[in-house]
Amino acid sequence: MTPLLLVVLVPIAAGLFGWLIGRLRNEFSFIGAVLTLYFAVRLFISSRGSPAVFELVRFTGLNVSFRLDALSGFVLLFVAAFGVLVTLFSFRYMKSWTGVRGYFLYVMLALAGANGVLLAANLPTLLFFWGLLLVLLYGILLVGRTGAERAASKALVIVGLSDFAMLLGVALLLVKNGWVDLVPRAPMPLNDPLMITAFVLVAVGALAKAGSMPLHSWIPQASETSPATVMALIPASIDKLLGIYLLTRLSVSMFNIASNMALRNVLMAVGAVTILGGVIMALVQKRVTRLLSFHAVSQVGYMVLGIGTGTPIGIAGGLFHMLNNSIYKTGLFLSSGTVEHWTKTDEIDKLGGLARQMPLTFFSFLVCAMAIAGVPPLNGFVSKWMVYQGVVEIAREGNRLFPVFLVAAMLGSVLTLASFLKLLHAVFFGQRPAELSRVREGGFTMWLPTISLALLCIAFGVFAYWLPLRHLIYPSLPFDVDPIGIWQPELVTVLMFIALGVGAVIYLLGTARKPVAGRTFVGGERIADNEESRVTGTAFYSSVKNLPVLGDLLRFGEAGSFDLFNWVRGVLGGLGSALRVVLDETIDKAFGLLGRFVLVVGAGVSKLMTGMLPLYVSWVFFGAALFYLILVLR
Amino acid sequence: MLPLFIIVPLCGAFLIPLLSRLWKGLADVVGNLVGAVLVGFAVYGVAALAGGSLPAVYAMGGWMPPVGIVLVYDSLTALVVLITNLVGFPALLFSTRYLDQYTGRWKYYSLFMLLLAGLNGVALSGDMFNMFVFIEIAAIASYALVAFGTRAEELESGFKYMVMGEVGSLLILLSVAMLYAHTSTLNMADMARVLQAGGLTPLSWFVLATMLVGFSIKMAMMPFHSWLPDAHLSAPAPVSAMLSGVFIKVLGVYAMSRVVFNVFGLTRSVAPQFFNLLVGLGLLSIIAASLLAINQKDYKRLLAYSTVSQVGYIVLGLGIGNYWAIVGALFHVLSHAVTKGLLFLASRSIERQTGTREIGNLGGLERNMPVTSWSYVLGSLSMSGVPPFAGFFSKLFIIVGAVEARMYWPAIVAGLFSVLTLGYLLKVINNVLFVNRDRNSSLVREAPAPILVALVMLTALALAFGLGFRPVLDWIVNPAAKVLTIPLTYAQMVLGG
Repeated sequence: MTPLLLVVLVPIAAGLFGWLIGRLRNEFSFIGAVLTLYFAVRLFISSRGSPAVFELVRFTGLNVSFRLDALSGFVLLFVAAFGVLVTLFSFRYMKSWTGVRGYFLYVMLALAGANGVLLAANLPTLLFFWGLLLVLLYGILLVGRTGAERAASKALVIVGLSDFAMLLGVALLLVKNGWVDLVPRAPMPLNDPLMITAFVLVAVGALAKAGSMPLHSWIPQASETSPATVMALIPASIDKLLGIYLLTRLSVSMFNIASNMALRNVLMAVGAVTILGGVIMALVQKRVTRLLSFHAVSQVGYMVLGIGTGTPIGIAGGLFHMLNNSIYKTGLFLSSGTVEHWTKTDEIDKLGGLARQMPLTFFSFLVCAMAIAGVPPLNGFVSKWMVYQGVVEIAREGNRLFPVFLVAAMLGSVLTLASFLKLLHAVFFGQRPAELSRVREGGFTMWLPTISLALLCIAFGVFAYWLPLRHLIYPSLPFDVDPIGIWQPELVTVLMFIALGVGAVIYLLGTARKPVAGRTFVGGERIADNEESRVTGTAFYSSVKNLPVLGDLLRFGEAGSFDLFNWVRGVLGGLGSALRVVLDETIDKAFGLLGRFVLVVGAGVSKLMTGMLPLYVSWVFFGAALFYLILVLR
Repeated sequence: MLPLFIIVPLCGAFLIPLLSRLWKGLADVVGNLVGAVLVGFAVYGVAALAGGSLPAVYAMGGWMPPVGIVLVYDSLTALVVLITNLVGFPALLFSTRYLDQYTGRWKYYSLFMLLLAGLNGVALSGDMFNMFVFIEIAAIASYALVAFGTRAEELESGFKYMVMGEVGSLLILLSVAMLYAHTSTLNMADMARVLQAGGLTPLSWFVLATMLVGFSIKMAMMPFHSWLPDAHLSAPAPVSAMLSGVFIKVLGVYAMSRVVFNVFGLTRSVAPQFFNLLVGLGLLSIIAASLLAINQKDYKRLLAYSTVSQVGYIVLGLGIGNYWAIVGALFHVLSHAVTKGLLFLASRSIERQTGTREIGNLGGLERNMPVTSWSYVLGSLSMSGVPPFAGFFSKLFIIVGAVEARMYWPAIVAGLFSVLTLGYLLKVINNVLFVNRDRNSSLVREAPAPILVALVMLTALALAFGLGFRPVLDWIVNPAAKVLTIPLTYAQMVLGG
């Protein structure tokens, strides 16, 4: 059998075996994930050559087939890698959760579904696996604490809604063009309204998958009830990879986004709003996973902004940021999972001072946090840098809005750094609450995944041009990317190490080693032992809440007003109640009177005619009159 | 073998009262045996039709058409007979344990057999008046079955249903009479030829309108739907499953499309206003019934409204009237029959084990009743069109058809409201099956084996129709859609030449 099929079938088989033979669940899942990775590596290597096509089903007008090229090859590789790491991490972490049996099945099936999406050669095939992932998303979000059902159904409705938008878009394209390949011979132009509508509809599906605003609200809610591994696997890595993968396909190979400036502006605006909205919400969170989930939303903004620029460097930057984000965001969720696993809490107020007890977790969290904040020379900086360059480049095409987008992106980056400083301080520094004194590092199944992700962040940052850009990103794009700005991460790294070394020398030789000793505190108490005087991190940015406009917006957002789901539910509920009032009550009363009249007239009529039946029959005659009007009297 | 579809259940109906004198359990045995045999026949029929080894026209008593009465078995009939018996058998299986609460087991089975005979008869009949007779057989059996519990509210809704149903039947009879007067023949194929020769006269429009009202009552389209929620509420669950899943499709959708497409030979280009009326009816039902469904507190009533809106999809597809839309509508006939049957049986299984139908009184049943719960969840996903279940393909095809006909608004409504379907079904799933684990549900146990077998059978079918959509399209739906899209082949096939 060809690896194209095996990469989808192997995880399904492993998941089912693990589900049936619960005793060997971990083993089956791990073997399944590793085998998938093996086939993904083989596919990745073969994808460096010419694209391969494999036809599954052919039927009049329907053609289900797989296709492998450079872009899907590298995303496939990373989906499989995250699958292995998260499975490894789950062995220990999931022990304290209920519903583990279903969890491993869903994880394996989600891997299969993601591989199916990546290999799909045309939109309908993609749609099939996309829908499969929707079901799995619902299932996997049900594994969790009390209240998981609500998050799961919210996710199902929001993602379902956007999937149907996508379905409509696909239907439009099917009718207009016959069969819709993801990579047609030449990109279709984006000029007639039908094509633009189709683009927007399919893009809505892609953006909702990636978690862009305003379709993001299920992610923070799910983060409160779901295991950290679920967050790490689904919203942080697989969903980002798939959503941005589809958006790239859509705007680079199916259509040519560069041909329509208005659409580019819309995409960039969505990106800018997502960056700022997500990060501002993140600043005021009190729980680690919820805070991380808002960053998961915020980071999507950079990818959308980069692709929205429509310039080669911007698109490459967006794609690179997708890769980087999934690496460090998975690392962050997994390390926060380690912390939560040993401390049994993820409330920032109850954490502190864990750096010494969990050095490995601290290291990986630190590296990933610096990467997401865009600190050079880590990978997050390089991709953001490329996105900035893309934004600057649109100025050459006469776009006057570029300063707005640039400022939004940079401000977002600063705020991200601020938010992570707070988190680092609150979790790993500061004073340790008394009950956390026995916390220690987890086993290797927990630190190995996080450390490898952190090292990957460093490698992809320092050797950005040698490794990921040259071998992963540039080959997947149909155009040549020539970076305009100058950024040499290797040199900067060397310089930074020199600077650090000099600092260390000064520290060791200088006065820092000889602190002034003396009693200056006259109160008599030792602060460290006093619980009340412990400084926690949640109040770091509460001054944001007091700013005039921003603060109002923030309170508004916290109350759920930005939540599209609440809006939709409100509108539909209102319509429903209005209709009930009209149909069931008003008309009911009117016809009830009529019915009583009939009842009085025909005094002998059975008591069973409660006044409802005449109503029913009068509806029939009303309808019949309408039909005669339409059909006979035309 | 064509008459066997009618004779077997009819014999069953009359044997059951006699045999159950010997031993009460024989009613169960004979009833289920008939159900299983009919499934076998229906599957064999589909296969034989695809292989071309089945004579498609059977002249009763050897009297040749157009004088004699004929039974016609073409691809459309095959599809309808298939769903009738595929849902009928699990419903019968479910009944074995369900009837424990009632007396008069043999009466129930006799009526059920009559219902099956009537439904198969409607599908097979090639004669206008005969079709009406079978409609009445099925309808009268269903009135009695709805009121089977014989408590006050059951009798009341049975009575309402009967009055409404008879209004519909009378209108159908009236239009049959007018057609007979106009064409001097009752054979549908012959009638088609006469009508084709004469063109569309004002009389034919009058007949069409009358007939559409009659069939709309049978299909429970808004605003003719009002009998359906009450009837479903008081009917025994297997009967609800038959009513929603099969009855309204055979008596309403099948009979209407047979007459409209094959006898009158209408296509969208000939009679746009008729098709637009169907689109309007479908949309009204989809929208209003879904919105009504959200607000229901009783999960069976919620399902009843959802039936109205799902049949709206079928009528919408027929109304759009191009190839893909009709394929979608027929696929939806298939997928909705299976899934709605499944949902009614599953919800009845929950009611049986817990004793309540209020969504608000239940919670956390997934632990206690895993099989029932998961079949309910999978059925809901299929119903709201989530791939890879059967419901996805039917909605996809309807939407593709709508876009192809440049009807963008119906396409958008169809897409949006299937999310709403998901929304109201999730309301049940979340509140009944998952949340509130602590709510006094610890004593509830899983339903007995025959019920579970019936549920698993239907779930497997919903999944099989989705995963195996290609064979289903190839063998069942596509040929049936061809019968409707090339309307005049019917007359040729029956009369020859």
